[in-house]
Amino acid sequence: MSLIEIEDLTFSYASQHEPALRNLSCSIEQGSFVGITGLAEAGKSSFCRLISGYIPHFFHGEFSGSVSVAGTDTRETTIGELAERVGFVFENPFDQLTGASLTVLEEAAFALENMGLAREEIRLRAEKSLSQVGMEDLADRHPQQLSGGQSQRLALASILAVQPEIFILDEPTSQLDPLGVDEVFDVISDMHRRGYTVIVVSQDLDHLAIRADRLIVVDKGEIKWDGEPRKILLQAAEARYPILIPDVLEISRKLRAAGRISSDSPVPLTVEQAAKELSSIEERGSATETIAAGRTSRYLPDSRAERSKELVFQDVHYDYPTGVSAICGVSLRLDEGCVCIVGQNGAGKTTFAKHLNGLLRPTRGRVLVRAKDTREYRVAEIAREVGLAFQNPDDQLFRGTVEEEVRFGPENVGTAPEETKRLVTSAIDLMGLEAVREKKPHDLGLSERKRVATASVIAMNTPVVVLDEPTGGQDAEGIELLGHLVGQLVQQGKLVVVVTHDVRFAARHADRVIALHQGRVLLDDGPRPVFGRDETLARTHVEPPAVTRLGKLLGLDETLLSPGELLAVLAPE
Amino acid sequence: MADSTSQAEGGFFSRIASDFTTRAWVLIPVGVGINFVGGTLVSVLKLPIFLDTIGTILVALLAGPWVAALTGLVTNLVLVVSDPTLIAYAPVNVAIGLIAGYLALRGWFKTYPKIVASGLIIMFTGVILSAPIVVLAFGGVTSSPSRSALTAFFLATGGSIWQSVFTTGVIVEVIDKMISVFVAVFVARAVPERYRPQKAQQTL
Amino acid sequence: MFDYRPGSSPVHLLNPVTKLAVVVGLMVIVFLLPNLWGPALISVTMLGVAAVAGFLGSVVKLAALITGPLLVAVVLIQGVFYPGNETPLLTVGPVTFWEEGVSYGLLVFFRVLVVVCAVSIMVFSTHPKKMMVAFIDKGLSPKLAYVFMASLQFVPEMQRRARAIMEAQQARGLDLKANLWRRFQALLAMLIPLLTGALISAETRSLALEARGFSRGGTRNHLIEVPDRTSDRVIRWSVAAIVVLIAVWRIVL
Repeated sequence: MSLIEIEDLTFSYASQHEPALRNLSCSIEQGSFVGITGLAEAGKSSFCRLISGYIPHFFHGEFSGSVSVAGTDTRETTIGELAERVGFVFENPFDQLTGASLTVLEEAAFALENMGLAREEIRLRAEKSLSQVGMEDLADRHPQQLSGGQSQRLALASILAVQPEIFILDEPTSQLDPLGVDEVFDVISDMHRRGYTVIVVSQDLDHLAIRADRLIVVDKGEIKWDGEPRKILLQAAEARYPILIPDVLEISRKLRAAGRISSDSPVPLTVEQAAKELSSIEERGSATETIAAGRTSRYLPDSRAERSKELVFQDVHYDYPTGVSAICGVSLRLDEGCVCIVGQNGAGKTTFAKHLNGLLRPTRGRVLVRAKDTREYRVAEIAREVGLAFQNPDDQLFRGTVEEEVRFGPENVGTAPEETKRLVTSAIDLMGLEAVREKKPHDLGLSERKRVATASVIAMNTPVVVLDEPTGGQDAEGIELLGHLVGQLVQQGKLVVVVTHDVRFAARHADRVIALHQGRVLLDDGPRPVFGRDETLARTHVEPPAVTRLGKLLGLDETLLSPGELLAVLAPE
Repeated sequence: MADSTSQAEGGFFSRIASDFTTRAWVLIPVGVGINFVGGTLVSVLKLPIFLDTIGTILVALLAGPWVAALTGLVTNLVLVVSDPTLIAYAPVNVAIGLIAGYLALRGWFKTYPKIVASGLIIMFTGVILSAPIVVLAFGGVTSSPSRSALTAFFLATGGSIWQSVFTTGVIVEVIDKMISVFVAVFVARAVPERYRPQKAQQTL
Repeated sequence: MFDYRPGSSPVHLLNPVTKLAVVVGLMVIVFLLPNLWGPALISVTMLGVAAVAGFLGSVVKLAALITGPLLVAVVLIQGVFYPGNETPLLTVGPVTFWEEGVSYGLLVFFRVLVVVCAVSIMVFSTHPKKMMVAFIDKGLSPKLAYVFMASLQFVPEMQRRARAIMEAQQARGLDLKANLWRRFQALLAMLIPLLTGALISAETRSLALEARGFSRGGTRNHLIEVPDRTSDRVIRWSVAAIVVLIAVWRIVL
């Protein structure tokens, strides 16, 4: 008898016609680490909710089939009772904290207090669970002062204190920076080693595939593939299925198909494994020639004087009212192409972005947007020149349909009705929202909502477009779309500034990469020079893309930016 | 959709208790927060209203009278930290929550004329209940100097302290409450259905 | 959102229920006492207690801020318009201030002053979590305690979200300084996402709370222990006794 048994499960949410899950059957053994991935809205979260009993007790709808956890049918028990066996970690780190605790220790103890345990035992178990997630030093910190990664670990600790057997984590790292992602996945691996049964939904296959012993791909409410991660990834890659196959695996697969390496050993899932495998390849092409033969970099030097899209930072300093210095002397010019801003959380990326449209004004120095000093204009006026799309779409969405929402931007800046119609349609097309044009924004999933918010900024047709972490939480299709969008906007002659943690995206699409560290510019150059300087980047917790690191381990003389370049070197025609 | 009259067996207290699902408990801090944020928004936008009960009214629309009453009470308790005199007005905020909730359940927020009436009823509830507090505890004075000046004006024209406080209250509160109820209805209606608690089916 | 000033004075060490009893008792007493001398004396005592607790300056500042304008306004209004005015005190141009009115105004002022001092002493000397635990020990529903603590912390969180929404909407061209009609529409453009976002979080939070046993019946325990000493009980009974005595005195007279 497996720990978790799902039999022929079909479920439709009350507010929707289409079933979220169709005739789904699955067994999960005790002690296993199951990874679940798939496109947005495929049914991954619904799958998780079955096991914790949220479906059907919290999310009502039509339910047929059965789900049992440790022999008990979930319909015959309550969420509270199931919670003693099944812990659930949500996507948003801050929403799942109780909000009533004043210290991290209190938060971890909340569930134990409700169970009425003896005071000493509460303290012991809470402290133990904090140390299991590496947060014992933060026991006295206020929960609202934690970073995203720390909050997720606190949520894990709060659940660990109850000692359930099963842990479900639904996209636990999609809102975190790279440091947070590593922290959380390390804790998850650790829990699995200790014997917990772990189920993780994630788009981040780079981190997930190497840790899970089983990978399930969910598609339109059904299980499409289910098996050993490497096997599944190869299948998905063969079928060109849009999930984020790790670059190292894709490279290896192609080289095996070209006969350059043997198919005896398992496919690599990490950069180190790939380097070992590929170092056996003797004949290589020249990296320098490959790069020169390919597309030349779109990066243009900033010596062009009178560019009308120009954004200028003149010795900008920004201090928060609390006295913290967020920007310490930044001077630069942005004028065209795609500029990616990278750096750890707290380096000043979002503060920098907010200076671009006047939301923040420098405490010293000036910012000129097309020759206008931001201190002399209202934000609404600068919004005609610089469109800025923020990370959280729910901060913006308030209208009845996607179309009305996208219209909001152009309406505000006073665009004529005819022109507005054209811009709205083009923005909706660019963001792949044709099919949901008349739908209510909140009936869509998070990744689609994000695209709606982005579309409403694109529709403003500003010469400068700034996107703050657009790839966060997106599936493979969404990221493709964003790449295409950036290309289109640059072709239209716009300046696109992208603040991002996604170095893979930056390597593929940026003309220029600026790395920020403690409010200063650490590096400012084309993607190739910047990603080649991994020691410098490490100071701001940025790791070059997998392909770049692989190229370096193989001893190549040039910095590589894409799998295509590496393949051209290792399997020259 | 269970009608409250058909639950005679459950009794008054269990009907109240059934309002308080975990979702309702979590809604209360939201209502309290919005009561505070309302004031920030109107000062940034320079609008001539207070919007300090908008959170309570929203909760009334979404979760019924008792949850709204508690929202009003907790708002007062939180305010006490910055201005202890406000503890005296706790009954007023509780009453506003109750009245708004009962009006909502009986469909008085569904059509525009009824919304206007609800606004007036809520306004009068607030003014009538706060008048004794203002007169007996504070000698006719409130924390707003302009409001006290208005009261002084009415006193000077010959009104009694009760009449003056009452008239001042009506004048100062009528616009705020009328706008608050309309804003609350528009906002509550715009919330997507999947996030609206059950009660909202009856009220909107 | 709360103003706890840590310390270890006798006031800090009192059980929060005791402090609440004293605050409530004082509120009743000052409204029972007939003239301003009682409340005035009690106010001075309050300031003394604040000094012992180590935050006299803060209490004075808060009291001045809140009761200062009240003092001026109420003395002016009651001084001129109090119905029982008979004895003139001061005449300034056409306006006459009467003794009875000024006296009544001062009475109101001192009553409010006592309440402000008492409440602020309680707030400054009591850690909110300890206050909740003390009340739960005496029978307060843990859910109510939760709601109070969560609300205290949620207010700054809501302010932060409102600011983020303001910025996000401004970035789409929303003009906060346009004409009145557009400013009302801006209000909706900010309140709707604020409420919707809060409801989305609320859904996750209620699931998380359920999973942590929020709805469970049965006993609960707490990490923090808040002692209820004999001295606390003595003080509470004394306060009750004084209130009863004064009430009886006022009724009999």
